[in-house]
Amino acid sequence: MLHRVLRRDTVPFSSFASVTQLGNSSAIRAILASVASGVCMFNLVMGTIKTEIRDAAAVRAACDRLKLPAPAQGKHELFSGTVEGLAVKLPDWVYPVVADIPTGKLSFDDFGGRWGDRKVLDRFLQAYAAEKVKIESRRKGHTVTESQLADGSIKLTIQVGGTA
Amino acid sequence: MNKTIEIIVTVKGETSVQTRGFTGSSCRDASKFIEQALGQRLDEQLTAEFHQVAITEQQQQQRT
Repeated sequence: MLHRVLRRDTVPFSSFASVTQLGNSSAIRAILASVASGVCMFNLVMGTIKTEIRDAAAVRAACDRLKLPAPAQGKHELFSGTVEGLAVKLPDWVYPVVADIPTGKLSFDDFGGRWGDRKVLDRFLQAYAAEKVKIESRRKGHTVTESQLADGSIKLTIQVGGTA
Repeated sequence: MNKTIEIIVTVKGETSVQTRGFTGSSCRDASKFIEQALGQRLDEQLTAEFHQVAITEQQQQQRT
C-alpha cells in the first residue's frame, strides 16, 4: 500500500502530508525520519527510457540469450534496399533487422507484420536492454540480479558499489 | 540503507528506472549511466521525497 502511494506520488511536498493520513506504520515513521534528517531512503527518480541499439557486445549477448544466430556485420538486403550494419535474424522474419551501431538507428521491413511479428522484435529489444544494463553495471563494479515478472518484464536490481 | 537502482525492462523493450537510498539529487547522477547506455529518456518523474529533500536542503542553507 505504502509502496503504491510512493510510486504514483509525483506531486511536490505540499501534498506529501497526505501520506501521514494512511496510518502510523513503522514504514511511514521511517519516511518522516529520513525526511527530517534530509537523507532520503526511498524512491527519488523514476524515468522511462526508449532503447537504442548502440552496443555490438550487448547485441551478441541478446542473441545468445534468445538462442538466435550470431549477429553479422556488413551489407544486408532489405526489401527497401541495401543497408549496412549489424544484422540480427529474428525467428520467422523475412528480412533481418539491421542496427547502425554508431547512430542507434534500426532498419527493418516487416510489411506491417506480414514479414515479421513486431512482438518478436520487441522481445529482442528487451533482451538487448537487459544485457546492456548488466554489461554497464558490471563495468562500474556494481552487482546485478535479474528476475522475471509475471507480465513478462525483466527486473534488474543493481546494488551500487557491490562487487561484480 | 543500501543504494540500489531498480530497472524494469518491459516486453516492448522500454525501460523504467527507479533509484533508492540516495541522498538528494545524487540519484540522478547514479542512474545517468543507465540512461546513457540505453538511449533516449522519454520522461522523468520526481517523487515526493525528491522535492522534500530539496526543500530541506534549501532550509538548511537559509539557516547558515
